[in-house]
Amino acid sequence: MTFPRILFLFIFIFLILVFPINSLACLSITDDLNTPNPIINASFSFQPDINPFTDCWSGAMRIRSDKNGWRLVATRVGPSSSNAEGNSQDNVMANDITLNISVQAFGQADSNGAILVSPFSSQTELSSIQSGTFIISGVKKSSNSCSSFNPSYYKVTKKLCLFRDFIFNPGAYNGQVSYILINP
Amino acid sequence: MLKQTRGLLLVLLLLCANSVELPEVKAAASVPLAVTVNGSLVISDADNDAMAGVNPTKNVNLTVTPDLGQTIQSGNANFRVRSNRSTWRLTAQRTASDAGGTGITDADLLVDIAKSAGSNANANAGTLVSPFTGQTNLSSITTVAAVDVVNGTAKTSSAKDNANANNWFQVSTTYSIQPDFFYAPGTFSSTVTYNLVSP
Repeated sequence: MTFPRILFLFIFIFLILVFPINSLACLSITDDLNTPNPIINASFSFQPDINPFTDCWSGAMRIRSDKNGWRLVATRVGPSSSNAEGNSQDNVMANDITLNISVQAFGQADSNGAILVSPFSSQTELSSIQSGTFIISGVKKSSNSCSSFNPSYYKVTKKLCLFRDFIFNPGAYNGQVSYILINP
Repeated sequence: MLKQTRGLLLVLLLLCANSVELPEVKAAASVPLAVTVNGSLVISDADNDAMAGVNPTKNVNLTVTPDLGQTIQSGNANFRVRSNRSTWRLTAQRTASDAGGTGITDADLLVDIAKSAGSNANANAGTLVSPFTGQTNLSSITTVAAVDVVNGTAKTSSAKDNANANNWFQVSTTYSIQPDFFYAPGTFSSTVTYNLVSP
């Protein structure tokens, strides 16, 4: 009789340790098509010219959380090139690409529930994203559900722009920005 | 005693489990970034250095009235070149001249070509090719094939210029003729086409 009770006790404790209370919170990132954990390709094919001065790309992701405390952080790699012709100091670099991030609340999400952290509260450069850089402080939940089709979410729109400057070396440049939604 | 110990152990474990707030990754998105910079070759009108002045047609009209004390008559057509290519060439080719009864020949029309650069451009990005390194005449630009006028060995920009205001490499062409009494009244005409090519 004592043995099953001890076994039950240890299973109970094990479950609590493996699934702490915070894990009960749900968090999700989708793209505009509600694809979970999306890969959103940002591609520029860019030709220096007299006008217009810039080429831009924009993309969006949706954040859902049923808890009031969450954070969006990002890590960047590149851009770098292995085939650019010319002096490497004229390669396209992260500080050549301007970055504008905006947040909108939809459905039941609180319009003040997601706060962009400086310097992302205004236009900055892609180089502002380094490793584990804090982008958004989430202070309010989006709703009580993180279902991909829940109409309540925070929409994070990213706009990248690059001057069509004649200084840039022709070539292909590749990089990646990884966004992670964490709790707390 | 055993029950009390077990109960105490349970309470302690529950407290520990709930006081540890592990920041767990819950969701992620990735944005692969691909930037392709293509090579670019642009010629614009030095007098209208904007999109409206790209690939310009520049008319050079020289009016010659032979007289005592008349000086040489000149006109020019100036172009601005921009390229991020490390090698480029400005070539020229001419249509067959129409003397128009004037008696003017291609050799009578003098050609001077000079280069210059804006403050954000590399003046050494291109070098004049002989015989355009000095004064020559229209016959140096042939009708049968394009001839090299400028040999570009570097991109034209020397610094970033977000307004494209001072990153130009300029090629100034000047055409001149003496007001000689030998020439008969009429109109001589010819067209020179400049092309920017790479390499």
